Amino acid sequence: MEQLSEEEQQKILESPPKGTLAVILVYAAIFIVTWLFMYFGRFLAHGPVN
Amino acid sequence: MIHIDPLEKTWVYIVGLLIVVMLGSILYTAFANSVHPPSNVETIDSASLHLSKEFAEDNLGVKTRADGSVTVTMVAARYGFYPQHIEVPANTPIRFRIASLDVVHGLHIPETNLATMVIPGFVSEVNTTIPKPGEYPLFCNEYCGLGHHYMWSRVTVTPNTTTN
Repeated sequence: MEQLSEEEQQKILESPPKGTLAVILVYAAIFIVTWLFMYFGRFLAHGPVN
Repeated sequence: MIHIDPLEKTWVYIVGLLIVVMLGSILYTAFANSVHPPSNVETIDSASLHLSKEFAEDNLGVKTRADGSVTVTMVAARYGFYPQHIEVPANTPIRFRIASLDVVHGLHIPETNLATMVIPGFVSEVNTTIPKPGEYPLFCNEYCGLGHHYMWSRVTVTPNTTTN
């Protein structure tokens, strides 16, 4: 960070956190796919229950 | 005016979407396919099960109803399920009716959705369907005493040969 110019530092600080957003999206995708698999692929596939 | 960071806003939308998808799936199957926790409330005198009509020894076991569905009547008692072996058809609606002779028991068939508590004084009723033929264990999953780990039974699920 120290080697960067004032202008470059400001640009980095003001830019949107794309990496964080990517991590969130990947996490959400894994979470929802796993949940859907467990609910529809495992739970409901074992037969209805009531 | 409250400032919400765009990233936080995105995260809120994603979480909202997850909740809508999950709750929506659960509610849809609950209303459309009647998938919900067993809710039968029916009392019985556990001390005189042998005198009751339904849970007398001779009446236990598997019975086929007129519509082709099956009713399984069982008694759970330390340390076994009676009858100790049942045979039911696959892909057929099955109604399990179980009563306890003594203490709280549990009933669970792995790889199926059948899991319920069996509380003395009440009849536990669970309706389900077992899609996959095969041999399944049926065991107690509520600690009921020193012999709890011996308390299990067998279920044979046979291929359904009737055509619908």
